Amino acid sequence: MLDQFAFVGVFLIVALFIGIAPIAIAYILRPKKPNPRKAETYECGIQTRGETWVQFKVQYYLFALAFLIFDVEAVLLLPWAVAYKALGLYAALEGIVFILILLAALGYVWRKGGLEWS
Amino acid sequence: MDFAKDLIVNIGNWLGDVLASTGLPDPWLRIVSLAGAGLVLALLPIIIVIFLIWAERKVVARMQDRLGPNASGVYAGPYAIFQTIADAIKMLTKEDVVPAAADRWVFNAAPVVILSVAIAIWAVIPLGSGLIGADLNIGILYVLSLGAGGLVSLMMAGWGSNNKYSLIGALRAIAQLISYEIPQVLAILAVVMVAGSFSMQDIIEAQDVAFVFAMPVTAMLFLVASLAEVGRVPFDLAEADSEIVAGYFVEYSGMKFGQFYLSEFINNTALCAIVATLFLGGWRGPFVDTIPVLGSLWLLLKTLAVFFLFMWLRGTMVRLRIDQMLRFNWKFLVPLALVNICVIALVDSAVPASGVAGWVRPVSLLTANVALLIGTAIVLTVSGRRARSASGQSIAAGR
Repeated sequence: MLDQFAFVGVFLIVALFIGIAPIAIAYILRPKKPNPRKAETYECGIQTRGETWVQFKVQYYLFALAFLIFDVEAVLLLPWAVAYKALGLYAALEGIVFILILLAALGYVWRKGGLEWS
Repeated sequence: MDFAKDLIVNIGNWLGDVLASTGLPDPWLRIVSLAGAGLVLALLPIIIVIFLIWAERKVVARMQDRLGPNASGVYAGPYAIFQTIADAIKMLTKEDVVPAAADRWVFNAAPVVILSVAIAIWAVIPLGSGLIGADLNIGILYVLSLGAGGLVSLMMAGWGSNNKYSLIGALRAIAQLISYEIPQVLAILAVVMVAGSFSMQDIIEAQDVAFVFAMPVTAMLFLVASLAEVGRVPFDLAEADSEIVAGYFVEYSGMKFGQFYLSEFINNTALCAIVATLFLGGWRGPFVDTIPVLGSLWLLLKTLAVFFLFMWLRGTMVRLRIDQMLRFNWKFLVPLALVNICVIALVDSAVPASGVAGWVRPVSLLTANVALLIGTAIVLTVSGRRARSASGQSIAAGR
């Protein structure tokens, strides 16, 4: 198994190389004629107004929070998914109870209006 | 003749022998052979994608009653099959414009990260029996974790560009990606439960009956969630060329734009290969036992079939709005995926693993899946009817 991970390590370096190579080739080939007009922000034609880096809609945070709950849940369920056959029916039922609790949590968020995009 | 039967593995072994005969000292020999194999594996998706981009343009054009790229001069070859290569050369020679307001480091790093991540996925995709970059025991988790890496690069591009359209596109992309990651993970979880392993090769070995027939609900969940994960039509609202121009890569030009485009297609192809691996039996097919090299051909055919389905969807569907996209995920896919896991856990632990005929498990899984589908249809019918009558009443009351 260590062999396989060694390959992944080398492959990640190769992938990084492939990611940089086209830009490096383009750096040699491309023309360079900078001009302040070109470097303006490209939006809808007129000059950009106001800050871009502002606080944005709160809904994104709500969905991110709901995502966090279910992601942690997935982390807990992943080892269960490989092992539950060896542990018998009891483990399977325990996992199901866990999922039912999560479904109840999802129902709570739903009722509270956390899943609405307004 | 034996050489041709397992052609690719034998060529690899032969190259390894040639390398060994050069008399390099041991750690270097290993590193050079690993890097060589890695380079071949990394160039493979790029070569496939060059032709898939052409195929998609051609097929979608036909679906929309256009001709698509055809014989543009002497360079593009018959049916303009080398159009993508011509485009790549054009992109390499285009000027690179960096907006003055951008955060230069983040802006420049994003295309590198996104392409590297897209290629790194290919390390664990099984291309044949014994033909896989690295048969990790956590193979499918590796794919999921790299998906999160792609998400970071989208945010880097959107935030670094300092452009309002970019930021909107990036935020939409993040909301979509994290939302649809949940049904995707849960669908994979169901596959892992039945296969009993995270390793891609083990999952293929477990498919005496392809999982798409044993667990159609899981296959559908995974397909829809993954469609959203790679941002294809109908989930392309992060790019939405007709409203926010191109989303998070508005400001990119030249080869940096090319890298976003390329990595998107590499992700698509990898995803089609993963669907083929998890649900269609990967490289398994007739005659693979005697002629292993056929396995790669079967995988390619299955991948292309899934990719054709994606192209078909692109030619058919319209774009969703962000509220529809999120509602569909959180109020339909996530509950369905959770119930699906419960059903599969129950069936899988109720049917004994040994001592029964080979068809018992798939058939009982299929029965449970059909029951789940009917149950879902009933719930949808009832809730839909209730929603319609509620909206009808509010119209009648003048609200």
